Amino acid sequence: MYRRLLCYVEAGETRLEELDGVLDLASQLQSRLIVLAVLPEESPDPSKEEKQERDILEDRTWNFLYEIEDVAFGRELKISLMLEEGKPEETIASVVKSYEVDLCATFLYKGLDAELLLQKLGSTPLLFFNQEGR
Amino acid sequence: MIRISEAIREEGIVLNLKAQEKVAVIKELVSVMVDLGLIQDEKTFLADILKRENLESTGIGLGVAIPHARTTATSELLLAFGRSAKGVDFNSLDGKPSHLIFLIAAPEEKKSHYIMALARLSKMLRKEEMRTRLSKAATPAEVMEILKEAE
Repeated sequence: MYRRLLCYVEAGETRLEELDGVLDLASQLQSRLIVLAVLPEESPDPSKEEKQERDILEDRTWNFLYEIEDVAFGRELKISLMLEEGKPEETIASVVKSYEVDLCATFLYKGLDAELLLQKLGSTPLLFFNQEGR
Repeated sequence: MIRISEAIREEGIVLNLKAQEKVAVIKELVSVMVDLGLIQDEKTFLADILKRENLESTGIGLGVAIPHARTTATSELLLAFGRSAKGVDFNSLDGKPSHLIFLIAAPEEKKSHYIMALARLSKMLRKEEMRTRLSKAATPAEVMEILKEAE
């Protein structure tokens, strides 16, 4: 029923252990887990500092995504990683639509507008996990 | 600090892959590593790579695939690169064939190096300019230069 489960993550805001609940869910539902991270769009003329900051953020995000992948592999879960740019709510909704995602999960991140996300997702169910991974 | 350009050799670069299907491409790149004497146990390595490939889509989109595994078949971080003009179906989420294929092997115990190499390579290959340059490179030496410059 839930063939594809999308989990939106923010590197540095979520610990690997907090994803246990999402991984358990993907395992129980036998879903392919798509782990999505979204970087803010790059400004058209970034300063040297902005470039460095973004470089570090992208490095950290990819590292986090591959850490998740490694744990998921240990649990024999089907997983795909995605790193996109843009506003999180719009990007999540667009990925959900483009890749026929059946169920969405995320954490209550400070920078994520939950109401806007619910609105953009339409009929796709959305689960919020807390820091205990529940 | 992990450097992609230090984990790959010119002889590990195949600019015109003969194989046209995912498993055959992986076998072709694995055999390149084996011929270089970099893999101690081809059978184990292939099995480790294919096990991951069955669970994950290592096609990361944008025409790029990074099949990878931690394995007991090697004692160092290794990379091979293959290019396919026609493209190979690596089950990418975007449904597009992969033209640039990097195979990564890392020792079982070097998890952090492995994760760093994957992250670094993924970051490099998200850049369109990088993909274009790798697609147009005429020689393995040129590929090495591009990778060094990107780091």
